[in-house]
Amino acid sequence: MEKKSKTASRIKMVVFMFSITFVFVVVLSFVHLYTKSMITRNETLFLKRSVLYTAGVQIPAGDEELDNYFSENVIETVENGSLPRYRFKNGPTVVYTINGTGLWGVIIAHAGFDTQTGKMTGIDFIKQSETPGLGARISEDWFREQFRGKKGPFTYVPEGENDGENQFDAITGATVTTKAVKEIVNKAAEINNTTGKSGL
Amino acid sequence: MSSGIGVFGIFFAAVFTSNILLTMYLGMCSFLAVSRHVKTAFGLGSAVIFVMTATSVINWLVYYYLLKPFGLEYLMYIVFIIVIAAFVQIVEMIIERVSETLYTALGIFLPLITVNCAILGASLFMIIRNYTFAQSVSYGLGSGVGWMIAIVAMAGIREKLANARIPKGLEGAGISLIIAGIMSMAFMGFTGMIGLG
Amino acid sequence: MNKKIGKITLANLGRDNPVFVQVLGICSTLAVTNVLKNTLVMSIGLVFVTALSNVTVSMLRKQIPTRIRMMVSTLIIASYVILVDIVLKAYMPDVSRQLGPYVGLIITNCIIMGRAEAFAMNNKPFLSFVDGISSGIGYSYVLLIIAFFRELMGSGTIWGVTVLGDWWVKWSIMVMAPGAFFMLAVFIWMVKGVILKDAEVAK
Repeated sequence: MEKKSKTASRIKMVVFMFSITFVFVVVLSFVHLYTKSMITRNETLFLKRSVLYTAGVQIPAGDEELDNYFSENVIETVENGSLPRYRFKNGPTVVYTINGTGLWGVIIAHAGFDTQTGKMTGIDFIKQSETPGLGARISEDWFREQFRGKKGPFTYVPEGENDGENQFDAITGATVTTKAVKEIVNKAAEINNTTGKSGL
Repeated sequence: MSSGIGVFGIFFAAVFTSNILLTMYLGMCSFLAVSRHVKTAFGLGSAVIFVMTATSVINWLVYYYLLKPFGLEYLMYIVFIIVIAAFVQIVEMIIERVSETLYTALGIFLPLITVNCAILGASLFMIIRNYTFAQSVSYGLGSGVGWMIAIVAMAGIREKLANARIPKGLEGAGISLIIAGIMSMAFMGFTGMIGLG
Repeated sequence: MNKKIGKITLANLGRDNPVFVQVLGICSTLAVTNVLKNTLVMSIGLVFVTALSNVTVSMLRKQIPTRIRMMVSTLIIASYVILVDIVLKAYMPDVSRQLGPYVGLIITNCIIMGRAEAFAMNNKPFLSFVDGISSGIGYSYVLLIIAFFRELMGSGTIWGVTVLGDWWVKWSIMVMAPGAFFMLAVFIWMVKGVILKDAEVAK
């Protein structure tokens, strides 16, 4: 008798767990499907904004205008498996997508260059998982802005001491991340020097 | 995949410089509650190492071989939580049957672990950081070891503190947090040791 | 009924405040307290999840088999967190990108679990809702205070706007991990020393 009721309660447990999981998964799937297009759209808008920011272009306010501006002025190319590049039709600017390795994992950056002068137009980090408050500060404005108008090869100096066009401020307490950024910008500068002027 | 970071580098970073407890505050609840005696801290620590490593492995496999092929990434949280809860339950049952001593040493800590943020945290971070399988194993193991070092060290300090005079308002949680803060600063000092380059 | 609601709310905001009295659930959310804005979003998410999971658990409390009640409540909590995550991704992409994995960690926040276990399992849905909201808020305001001081001292800004000029030497340590520990300890110290003196004696 006791054994039977134990089995019954076991079955009830499993059935209960199963049904409640089922209900929640169904609800969540609906919400997911409903918002899916919105999320993908946000993702593309984010990338486009980032490219324009990196190129030092005024970012159009509305989403539509952003799309229009982008399709009129920017050519995106993906060369045999490499990361996408964005070339501006009426100007010397090219934005490269560069991979680097930070403390915790991959850092993906957009690095923009003026191909005539070899100077950077800007940098933006589209994916990074560095420590919040330390390495993650590479996404802050003061860090990103300091690259505009500078020329590689880069070296870093202690926070707040950079002067000269191939130095940038390191982040205190995040040496590994700073090194990763150095590699990224130097890699980008090299690519720009070799392939930037000759077209894509 | 971020194959650029060495497995050993990840392990070291997870134990010291980016200790999951001292820099991410994960697993604080049990950290404050169980860090009164070195012995219990050690027991809980070992249980965390074991569960964290195992669940990182399982969750990695589940994510890349089950969720990703079917586009179900958004269910990740639910699935991970269930995997962890189920794993802990199963381990508890097995330990109970197999070894009495192991059960009294580890078993009592297992229910605590399901709600330990650090376990889920390790699984989530390894997915978000795109770790490969080997990296995930070393990350899970490293985080567990780091967590244990932190809680055992804390328990050691707190045992000494039993005879110290602490301002009234700081007794208990307050002083533990200050110790944790100082430990966190000390662990940051390890940064120079890993020249990952 | 009304009296009870008031009582629960007051207790959760003061005497039984989850953070400085019970020292619960600081794990997941403490990490985002170096920026005020992220803290607010995280807190709103947390209040939402606590309240709704409390209601759901309370509604199901008679059906849930006792042995798996922890698993069931975790499942419910996880579902609501995914909901928050999806909503953030769809409507506030920037914030979602910054909070990253921390939204997911709301799941393991001990407060939500604690309230579901201790309160929702024994009370009616509406009361549980009130309890969820108030303990969520009781938790959030502590975090917001901490975030306020961490951002102010660490970066010289409030809500991203610079308030302390160049004369202020930024305390980088406040933005880094140890800052949160020290801030919370000082906060608990002050609260225990000043406001909760009687409660401390009674203990």
